Amino acid sequence: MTKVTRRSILRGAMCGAAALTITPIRGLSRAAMAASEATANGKFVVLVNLFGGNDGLNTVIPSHLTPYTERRPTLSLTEGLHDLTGGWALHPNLTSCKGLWDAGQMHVVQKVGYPNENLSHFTSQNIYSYGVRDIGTNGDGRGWLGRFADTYCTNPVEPLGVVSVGAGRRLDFEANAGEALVLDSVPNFNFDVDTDFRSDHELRQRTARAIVDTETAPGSGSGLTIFNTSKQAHELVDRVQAGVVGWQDPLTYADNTFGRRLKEVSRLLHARDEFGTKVFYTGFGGFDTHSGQLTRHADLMSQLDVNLGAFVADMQARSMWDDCVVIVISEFGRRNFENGSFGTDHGHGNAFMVMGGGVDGGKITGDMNEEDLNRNQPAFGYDFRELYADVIDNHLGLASAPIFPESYQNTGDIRLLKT
Amino acid sequence: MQSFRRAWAGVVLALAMVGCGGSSGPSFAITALGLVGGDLEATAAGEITGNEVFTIRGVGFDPASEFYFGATAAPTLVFVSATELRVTTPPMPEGVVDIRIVNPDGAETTLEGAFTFAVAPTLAAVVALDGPGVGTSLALVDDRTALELTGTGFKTGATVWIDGIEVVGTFVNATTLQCAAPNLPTERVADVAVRNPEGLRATLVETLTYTQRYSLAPQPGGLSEDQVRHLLRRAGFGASDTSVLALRNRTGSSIADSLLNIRADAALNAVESNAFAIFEDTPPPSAEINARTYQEWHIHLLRNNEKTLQERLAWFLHNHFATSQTALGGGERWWIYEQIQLLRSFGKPIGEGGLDFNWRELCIRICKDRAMLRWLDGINSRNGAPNENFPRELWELFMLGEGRGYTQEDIVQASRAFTGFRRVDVEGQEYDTVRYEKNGHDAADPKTIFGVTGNFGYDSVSPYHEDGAGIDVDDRDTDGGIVALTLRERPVEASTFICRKLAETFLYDDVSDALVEELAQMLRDNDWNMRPVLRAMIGSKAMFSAHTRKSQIKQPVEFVLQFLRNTDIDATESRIRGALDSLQQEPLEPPGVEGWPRGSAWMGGQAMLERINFLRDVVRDLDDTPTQINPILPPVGQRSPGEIVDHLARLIGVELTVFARTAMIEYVTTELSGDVVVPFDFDPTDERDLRMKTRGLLYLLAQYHDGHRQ
Repeated sequence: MTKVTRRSILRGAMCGAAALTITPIRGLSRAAMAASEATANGKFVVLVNLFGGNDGLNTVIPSHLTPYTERRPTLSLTEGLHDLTGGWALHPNLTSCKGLWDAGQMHVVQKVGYPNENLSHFTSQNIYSYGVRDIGTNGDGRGWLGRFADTYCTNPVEPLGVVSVGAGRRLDFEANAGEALVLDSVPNFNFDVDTDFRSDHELRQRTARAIVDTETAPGSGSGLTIFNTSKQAHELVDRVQAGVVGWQDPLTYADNTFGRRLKEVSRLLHARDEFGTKVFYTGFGGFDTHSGQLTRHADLMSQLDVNLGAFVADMQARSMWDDCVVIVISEFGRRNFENGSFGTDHGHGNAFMVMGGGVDGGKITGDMNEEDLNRNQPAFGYDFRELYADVIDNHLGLASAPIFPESYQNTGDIRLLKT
Repeated sequence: MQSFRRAWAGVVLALAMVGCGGSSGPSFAITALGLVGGDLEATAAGEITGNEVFTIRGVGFDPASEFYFGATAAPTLVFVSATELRVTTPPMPEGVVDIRIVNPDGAETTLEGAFTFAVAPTLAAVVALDGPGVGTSLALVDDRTALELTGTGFKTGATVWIDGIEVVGTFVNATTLQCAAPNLPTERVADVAVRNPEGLRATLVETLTYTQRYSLAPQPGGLSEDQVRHLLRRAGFGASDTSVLALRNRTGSSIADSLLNIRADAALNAVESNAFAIFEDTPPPSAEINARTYQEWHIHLLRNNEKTLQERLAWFLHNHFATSQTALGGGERWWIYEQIQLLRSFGKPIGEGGLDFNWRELCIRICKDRAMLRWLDGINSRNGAPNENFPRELWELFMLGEGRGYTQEDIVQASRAFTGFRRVDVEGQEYDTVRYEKNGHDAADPKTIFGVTGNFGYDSVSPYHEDGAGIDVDDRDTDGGIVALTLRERPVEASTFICRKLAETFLYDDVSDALVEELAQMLRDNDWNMRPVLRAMIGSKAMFSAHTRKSQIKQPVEFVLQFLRNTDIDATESRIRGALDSLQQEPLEPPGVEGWPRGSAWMGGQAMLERINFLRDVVRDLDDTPTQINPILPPVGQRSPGEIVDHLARLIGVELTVFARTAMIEYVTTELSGDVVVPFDFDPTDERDLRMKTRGLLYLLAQYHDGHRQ
């Protein structure tokens, strides 16, 4: 369906020069051409960040290792677990995830992190955002998604190549060329009208647009970011709104933060061929469970699972699930042992879940033993970049090497996709 | 770099006649030589590659005169007049040659050794060797910054010219020269040139940036209107035209003193009382007040308090000790009110219940602040079951910076010290409170922190914390509290950490270590009193430098409040809260303990749209209060479209390009007829015209890209 739409727009653009003078049409046709380059395989990634440091040990649970229950006398989970393999089990609220596991579409990687892990939320998040461990020495000021966009979404610059949905303009998006779309809500991604002076308001819009279209962007710095953003707002509204016309709400997303965000991802995917988005960055917070973890974490797991379940069904209904990979990440895991407040403090390596129609699932890469659990936190096992790189190379079909210029531990163990 | 030869390319060497070498023929000599329109004194020298044009002045020249460099004739010679010739140089090996002119009658004159062929130097880079701009092309306007010039072909005796001023250069080797930059009266980007003794030179055009940004010396003289507006954007949330004009011509330091005076007066009492009235019949402490009401109370103060620095500092501290009321239950929510009041009291005099800018005291209080104890699990940290959350963030985010001077074991030990508080339900009281209980505190063994072993706990429990009930003072913590220990054992880390954040907030982002240390030294020397630090920054040259001005992206709170304060437009607290909600910066609800993001994180397509839509909301409200239009506009009689645009741009603090200004004037004088733009006869005496176009101009001006910078 959507492919037909794209062709018709291109045709319209080619046949009718007059149509090109109308801004929205021009925007679409240019974008459609960009999309045709960038979405050669139509595949995309949805990155779900669990902000605050998700407790991996209570997400993918080592029920076969006795230190787990010994060191977590009140927090260890033993009942209602969804068994996976080798003694591992999922949190009781991860029922949709268990369904994916059973369908062979979810792969777990254990002890994901980076070397010499840092216990600060902010330092750790920066490492993930830049895709660089030693930021001071090896960083180039760009985020990994910025490098991605600079490499793969620049001919011409495609602001919809990577998109933040509710996650803000994170450092991940810091790029040299262009300005990624940073969006919270598509319905609100629009101009409100001064209804007392409708015609004059239209003139105001044209004036503002003429200014951003005509003026030269400042060379660098904050002025450039503002200018580009301002230009983007004026240029993208029509395009985004036109692209999502006809999207149908499956009504299965929960009315909570993560549900609302995934719904926006779904809405944007309605225009997959026009927009050509390769990476959607989203997530939600609340995972810094220093106290009262049991119920808080259970609620978070439920919010995660219900909405992922809705998203998978939505994607399947729209025949996009085979083109989708969802990666669930977090800046770090938590301690092996509970603290005195029925919570857990900051830890290291974490279990990441990867799911999708093309994922080689029902498998766990990496393992743990009792020694891992008798430490303060599990040891670092796999570099998150090896995981990202596998998805970029083998799912998106794009070379990951320019995205992660700093050398990192590459075990070769991580093979997330069906061959 | 590509332009290093630019100045040289325009050189015309003037060879002027000063005397006669003989009575029969032409004579010539070399006198003063100058760059045309330039500032370097030239001598008779050319490049070995030849092909440079020189002007020869003298008398008795003939159209058929010949000119020689050594034994080689000039490849081209143009006869301009009997007193002026133009010649090009031939390619010649390096060295000194005679120059000679021969007339057709055979008369000739020679100047021996008067011209030098040489290899021109090249200049690749100029970097500062000292000062805070070390390693970059930055010089201070008043600090004789040491510079190093690198290039090729430098010779002993080479001189350096900066912005047309000759300075003594030290020859290091053929690729390196050093010198001290001359002081300049104002900020500018200067040309730098190197001139070898024979006269060949290389110039880097507009390469050395002169700045006063690093200087904490007081800004001299009275402030211009524009400087006052800038200062009040940074040290406040903008200001009305009246307030700005009242401060014009005063010095920065004098304004700083006024801003730092946070003593109670009638106006402050009134604004606090008006804000408090938002709680109506159920003021805090109470379990009846909802989260929005607390936000609107805070917003009222941010919008209206004329002690603008008090609220600016409270906002800075709210972001620094970022606590969210979303973590507080209904009975606990009044604790956020209590915390904001603590932060607002930071600059108040001690006699008025304030902390007189004492950083140590504020850190001590925040450790025992009820909302903080709840937010970072202090009330869950118990004897035998300590919680690391608070000590980690206390050092990482509040006092020292990540990884600066503490270890994981220090955190573990400090978490033992931070035990003893718990939430209590007081019988017959619907709201919750927090109390310190001696037996909840871990005093069993001494704690070793920063290598110091002692009985550490909270710093003495202050009456502030207790709402009238008995105070359970713990006399077992004989070695005092963690805050005092931290400042004692880690004074450099602690002072540089907070001073860097202050400087980044009030001045600019890439603040240097040297400037931070200068401020930190002040903080340490004044026993952690922050007033001198604030005073120095507010009135400093750095505050008014081009590097500071408009260098920051406004946060939503700054964007919204500055627009309202600058224009003096009324907006309800509810409207402002709604806008800040859409812009994701609701007061009292920072996204996490790290506070709100800074800078470019606030940009993005949707964020920009929300800002524009906020402006739509506010200007649309103007219709309900038409009397608001007049005070915003220039006086009657000065209301041509251009005058209105300029006036509003000035109020909002937006600088327009010529194109943007023209576009906005065109907007006033046009309208849409269907889809076509047609002339509109704007009548400044017509109320509807004024309202419509004022709305539109405010909307356009405030969304203009310069309007998002401060």
